[in-house]
Amino acid sequence: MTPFDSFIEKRAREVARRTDRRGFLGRLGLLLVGGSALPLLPISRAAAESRAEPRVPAPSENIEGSEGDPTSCKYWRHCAIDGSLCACCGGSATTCPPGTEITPVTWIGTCRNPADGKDYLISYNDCCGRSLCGRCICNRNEGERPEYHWFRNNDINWCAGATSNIYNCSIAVVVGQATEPQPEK
Amino acid sequence: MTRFLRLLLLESIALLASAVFATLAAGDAYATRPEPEGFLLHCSGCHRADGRGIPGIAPDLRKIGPLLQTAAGRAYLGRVPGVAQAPVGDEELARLLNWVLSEIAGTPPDPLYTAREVKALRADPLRDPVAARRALPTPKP
Repeated sequence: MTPFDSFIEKRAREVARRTDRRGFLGRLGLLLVGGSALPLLPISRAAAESRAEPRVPAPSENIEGSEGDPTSCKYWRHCAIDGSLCACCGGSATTCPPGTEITPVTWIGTCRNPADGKDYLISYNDCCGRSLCGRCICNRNEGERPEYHWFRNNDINWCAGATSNIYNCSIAVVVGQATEPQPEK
Repeated sequence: MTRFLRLLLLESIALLASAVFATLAAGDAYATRPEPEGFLLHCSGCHRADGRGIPGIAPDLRKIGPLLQTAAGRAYLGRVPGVAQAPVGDEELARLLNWVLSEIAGTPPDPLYTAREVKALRADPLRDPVAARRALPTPKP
């Protein structure tokens, strides 16, 4: 037996003496059972609730034509958005990611849908309560106004109206059809 | 220049001038927007779609009716920043204000606000809306 082989054998026997096979199985079992119990924790239940009930009205119009890609900054509803797109952060263009809260206060403008050539009223709500998502950062400012015209400004942290002021991402909900574009356009 | 060309030029100038005049006279470029849509676009972001507002941020519009009981309260509604600074013409603003008071607060103004009245009120916006509200005899709901 070479010195290398005997060294390995000695170490292997030492490890076998110090540990037992059932210990590993026990720890694996603990991990599996503990992991399955995680959804019982309050924070996980909050996430499931926000997933089950979006609390955002569904688009009130039957919008004709191709809807487009909600994870793209060029998506028509994002014409004046500034922030992370929730569709890239575990939510969608109209729903907040699990575990975040939608702002009741929002700013509303209009975007033109190239698929049907109509203007729609878009509500830009922020989703709050988790740190910045950081994915799909999009900064389009059509019709945006300076901060002194705050109700059509997207640099404001609209999470000020939510329980938590921490901004996560933004959604763009169609709240109706517009007969005209907003006056600032 | 021939006489015909001179005539054509004069007619073109007259046509252009009348078009410019018509645009200026129209004033409210966006006066045709229906009130429910105007409310959604200009008001509901803070006051919410049903007007119930957000405590500490935007007042409940369903409860502003009593302000109409005094001249100062009626003037306040036209001078408060969200109304006076709304990006709409006087005519549309008067219609919007009347609609909110009638449909959301359930108290149609008597008489209804006119474009002339709204124009005068928003020309004198409140510098300190909180103090102005406290000075009104109608208590906050």
